Amino acid sequence: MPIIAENISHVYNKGQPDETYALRDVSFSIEDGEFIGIIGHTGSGKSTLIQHLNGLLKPDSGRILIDGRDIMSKDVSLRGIRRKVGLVFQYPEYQLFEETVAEDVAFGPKNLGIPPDETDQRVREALRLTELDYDEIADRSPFELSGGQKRRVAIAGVLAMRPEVLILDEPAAGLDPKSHVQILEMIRRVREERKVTVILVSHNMDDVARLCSRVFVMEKGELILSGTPREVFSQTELLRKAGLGLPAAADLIFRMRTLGADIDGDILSAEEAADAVIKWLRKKGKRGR
Amino acid sequence: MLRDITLGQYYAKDSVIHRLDPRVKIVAVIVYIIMLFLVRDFIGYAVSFAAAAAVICASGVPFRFILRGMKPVAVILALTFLLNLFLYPGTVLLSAGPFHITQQGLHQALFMACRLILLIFGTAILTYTTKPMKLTDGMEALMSPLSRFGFPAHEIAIIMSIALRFIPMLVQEADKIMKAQQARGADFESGNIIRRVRSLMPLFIPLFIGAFRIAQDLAMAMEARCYRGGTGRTRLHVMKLHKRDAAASVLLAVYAGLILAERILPALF
Amino acid sequence: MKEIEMENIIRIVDMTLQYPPADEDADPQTAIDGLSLEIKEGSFVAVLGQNGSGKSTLAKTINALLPPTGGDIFVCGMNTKDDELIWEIRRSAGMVFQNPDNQLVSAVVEDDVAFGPENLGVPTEEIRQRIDDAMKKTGIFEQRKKSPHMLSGGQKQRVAIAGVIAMRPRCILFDEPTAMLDPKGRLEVMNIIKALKKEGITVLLITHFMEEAAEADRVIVMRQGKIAADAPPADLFSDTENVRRLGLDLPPAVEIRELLRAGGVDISDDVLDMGSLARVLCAGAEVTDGTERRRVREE
Repeated sequence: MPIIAENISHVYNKGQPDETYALRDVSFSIEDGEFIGIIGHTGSGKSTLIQHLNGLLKPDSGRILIDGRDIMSKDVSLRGIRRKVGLVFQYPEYQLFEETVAEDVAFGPKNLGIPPDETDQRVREALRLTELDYDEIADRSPFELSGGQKRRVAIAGVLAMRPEVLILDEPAAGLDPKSHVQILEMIRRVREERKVTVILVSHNMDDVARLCSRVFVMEKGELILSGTPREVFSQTELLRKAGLGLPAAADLIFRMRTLGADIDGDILSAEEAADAVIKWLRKKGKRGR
Repeated sequence: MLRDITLGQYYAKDSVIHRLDPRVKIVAVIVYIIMLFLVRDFIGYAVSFAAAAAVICASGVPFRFILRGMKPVAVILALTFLLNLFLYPGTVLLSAGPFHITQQGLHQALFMACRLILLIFGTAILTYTTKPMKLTDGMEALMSPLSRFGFPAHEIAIIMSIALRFIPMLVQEADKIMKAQQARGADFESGNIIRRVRSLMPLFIPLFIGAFRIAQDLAMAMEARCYRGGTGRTRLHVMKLHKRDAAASVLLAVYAGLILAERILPALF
Repeated sequence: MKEIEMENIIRIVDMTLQYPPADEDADPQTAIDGLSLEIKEGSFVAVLGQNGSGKSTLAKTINALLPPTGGDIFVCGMNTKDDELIWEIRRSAGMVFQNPDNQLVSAVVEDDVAFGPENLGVPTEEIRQRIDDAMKKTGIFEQRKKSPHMLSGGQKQRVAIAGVIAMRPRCILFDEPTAMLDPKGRLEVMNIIKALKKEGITVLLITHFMEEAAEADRVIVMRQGKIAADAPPADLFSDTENVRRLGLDLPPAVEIRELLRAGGVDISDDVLDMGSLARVLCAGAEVTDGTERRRVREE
């Protein structure tokens, strides 16, 4: 189910003196099974962009095609789009409301008119995918769970709709390092098992570099750069201008180059950085003799 | 759109009206409102209108902004006008089927409409020229003599100022929760009343829980910053009366005098 | 006598804090379990630990927001159990919370910064002076007339810090101040924290970010209400095994440093951040030694 955005723009306060483009002429296409990372500093339009992909916001111009059809056209059901494109907002645990975990996770499927048997099955599946124990947790109140568990329940609530595209806005924000790693690992596993397309909005360049197959860089409402992590994170100047950092390893190499070290190649992981540095030190050592 | 909502409707400008002490402005509006209810005929309204118009001119707030403030009450205004127009007994001027417009009805309808419009002018000019925080400060100062009799003047003021701070935030939060539930297929728009009210639960419950969480956090943050009620507190903004405030008070007295004279004098003669 | 007290601005003696049980038959939850700790005036101490390890509770007890159920806490020599001293304790050891939105009281930045001094009964002219000072220090002076609602997360957090600075504290407790910020906001807040430390203000920083902890003089790791480790960051992060056992990560620079060391490059323990690592690697001396050694081993 490919997603295509054609020249979408979104304007706040149109026609007023404080008119601002939250999105300006953004175009891209996302193929099935991709793992997209969206980076950009706060206010760059990331959140506005993802809300367009399931019809929560309407573009002021341009269109979004899902399965080749404009999602804003009259004969496309928005509810159908929202089933296919699951969106997990930032701090989703603050949106839980039901008395029990099972009921909360079932909210989506119920809204879609899924029969009770299948709903129950989906709830079990979603809790399993988010690595929660159904028997232990299903009948408990979501409000008595720990922060990390609540977040998983909220993600399960979206997974229970069996989306084909899963969009997550900063799923690891505010978690401790252990839960941070666990939640991203969980997303990676869900992607493999359910074969969903994943779109991850993140401030963490290392996560994006490690997980994503393609990265979109947003600045001031525009999509200024897209490509593989290696391509994107080699554009240090452009990223710097967009107020963004680099993955740790790329950051080290960038700093060393600034200090005059002639290290080649686009480096993303710590291992690559260590290898490149050692190779450079050896070369320098030989030359030094 | 929800995110565009801001509380109050302050119009930033540096006019003499903006600079007046909020206490003077609040008292002036109260006096003005009382006078409007004392006015008996259109002469009184003409005087009031002239006074309001003079203040609006001096404030530099464009007239269309004042008119915009009438939008939310337009329905009430129209309803008052029509009810008075058609239902007031008296000499019939015009009639169409069951509807009669009487001379007294027309008079009454115009009279009430004038009163309402002038009321809105008064309150609009107060909110356009006074920042909400200043209004709160002014009210606290005006009410503080009452605290001797156990009236919680400081508490009311702090509640108002916290509301000013957090209502826009809660509105944003509501917008976010609504979108999140919509993303899970929730429908807030269709169905009958009962269905619609029920469909709001996924919005209200997280919103209330969120509000309690904020309240808890805020209470702790206030305590950590040594908040212990109104006693022993000093203020960053101390209100001082200036010459312009004295002048405004004199003008207010002149206006009130005119209205009262107009009301009382004919009765004396 | 006085001097000894001055030296340890915070002194915690065998402190325990139990939250009342959720049900009648349940056991009370122990958040802090017999903890003792001394913090020297002017130091920068980072507190690490997983969620629920008692870090945040610790900060709240120091600020006298939570009374300990056992033991004593002294802040600038004052016992937090003494109700009469509670305001002076909160003034001396100010606190900045995690959520930038939920701790600002006023709809105008400068009024919010003034909230603390107003509560302390500081004379009006002095409040003005103090808040202007505090807002300039935290770089939000230009925003002073705005509503917090219009600011970024990092800016809001700086308003909160200014509000605490305006109370002229000797110590500031930061309870995960960067957890909800983007990288830019985090950097802004960290820069202010470092500047405060330079001014001699004692800083207690609770955080999940290892690179932030690496900037401190001393790192305390909490686990199940107890102190599981207490060491300078260079020592703590040099024992990678122990770091993992404590459920922590290595700071990104240390992670690469360890890989380089494993590859034979000689780098000292006190290289903890990316800037120093890059400088050390480019500067040569120790590095050449490392490669020499490596070369020897290879031959």
